[in-house]
Amino acid sequence: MKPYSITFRHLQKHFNKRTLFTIPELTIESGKCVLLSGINGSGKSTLLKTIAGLEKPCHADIIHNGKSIDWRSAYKQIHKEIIYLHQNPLMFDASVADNITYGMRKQGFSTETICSKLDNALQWAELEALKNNNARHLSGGEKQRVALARAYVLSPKILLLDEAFSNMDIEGRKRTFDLICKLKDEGIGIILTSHEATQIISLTKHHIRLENGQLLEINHKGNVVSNVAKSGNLSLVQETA
Amino acid sequence: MESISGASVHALQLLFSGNAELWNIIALSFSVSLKAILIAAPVAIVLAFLMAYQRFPGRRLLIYLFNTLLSVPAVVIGLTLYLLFSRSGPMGDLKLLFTQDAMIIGQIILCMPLILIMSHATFQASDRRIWETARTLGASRIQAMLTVMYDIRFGLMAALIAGFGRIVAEVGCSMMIGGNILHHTRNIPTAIALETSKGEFSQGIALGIVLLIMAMTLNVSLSLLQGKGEMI
Repeated sequence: MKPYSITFRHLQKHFNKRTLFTIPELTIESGKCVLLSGINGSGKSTLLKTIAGLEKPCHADIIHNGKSIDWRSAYKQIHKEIIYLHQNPLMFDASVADNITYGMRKQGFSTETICSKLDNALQWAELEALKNNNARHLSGGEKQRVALARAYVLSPKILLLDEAFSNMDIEGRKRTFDLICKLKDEGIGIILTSHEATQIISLTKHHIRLENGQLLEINHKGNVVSNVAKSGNLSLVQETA
Repeated sequence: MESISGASVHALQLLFSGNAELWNIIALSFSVSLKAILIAAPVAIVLAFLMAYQRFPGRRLLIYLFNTLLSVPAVVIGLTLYLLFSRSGPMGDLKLLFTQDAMIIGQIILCMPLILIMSHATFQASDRRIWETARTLGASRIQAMLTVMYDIRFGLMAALIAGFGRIVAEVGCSMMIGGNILHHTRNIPTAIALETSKGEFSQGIALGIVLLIMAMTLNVSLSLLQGKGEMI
């Protein structure tokens, strides 16, 4: 996969006169897996939605693959390259197959490509037996697998997973974990959020925390690393102002 | 004056004998109301979507305006359009008064607020994740909007049926700007009003039966559709 990076500079988001976050610089690259933690209500989901172009930031300068672009242009690119998955994935009122092919149909993929990618995705997520079932009737774990397969067929550069392991039994967690590992191995950049950081720490090398509107880098001992500078080794870094 | 039972029997005879005049009135009524719905519904539903999903200046004002229009009596809308379309009115040159086009305009104004407000409530109650999921999977704004509409289709259908029900049985506006001209602007409610005033109950009852059958058909159809879209 071709290296991909997107940088948000001076990323700010306010809501009802409250500052949700102010991030001097945030670089996201393909092929890296980052854990984003923070307490409930810290703004993790809003940050991910902003990165995915679903929420408009109050301010952001964007550098896409080394080129500076405005929000309007970035917004169009982002929708093709970054996919956000909800904490409880929304299934369209249709079959599993229709859910998986939704994005491809809307983006105008050819019928042959859709059929071949669908078969591949069903096998990839072990959903062959559920192909024709209504996706809304599935369990939480199965829905998460459909959501991952639905994103996988679109070959995103970055995948943003909001509390991907919540409301799931052990088996469901294991299967979701395996799928995320596969996505990581394919070179897709992943940002996972969790308010229970220890749960998925083994999946990620990098850990950042959103706290009081600031993004902090956390080391492997769980301590805040101060004065974080942009480093080539980090997939998602915050430069201090 | 005939008895109710006698008039009812005569009404059924008129309906099943294929009385040309009666069926002409029924056809005209449905034609005008369907055209009005076909024009009003897309505009009302898209506006309702924008009002629920987008923030823009004047959004609240629009909601208040349509809520107010919802409670304006049909006869007041008829009067306003009559003044506008009459020969000496500001739109008199269009020669719309006592035409089917004028009736369609009146019915659009009547049903649009109802469809809009009901659709808006349906959109407001919809799950925002539908829009977000569609957008993040690469759907355009229009495709995402259609996806949301598909998801809440039963609520939108109920809004359309309520809108159609309001205009197909409305008499005040159609009477004032249509003029109740036979074969031209006479529809079911204006014909019922006229026949009743003449003491000719048979035709009025026959037309009333048609309206009742229509209302029942629409509601049963909606119930059958909604039965499949049960809560999960």
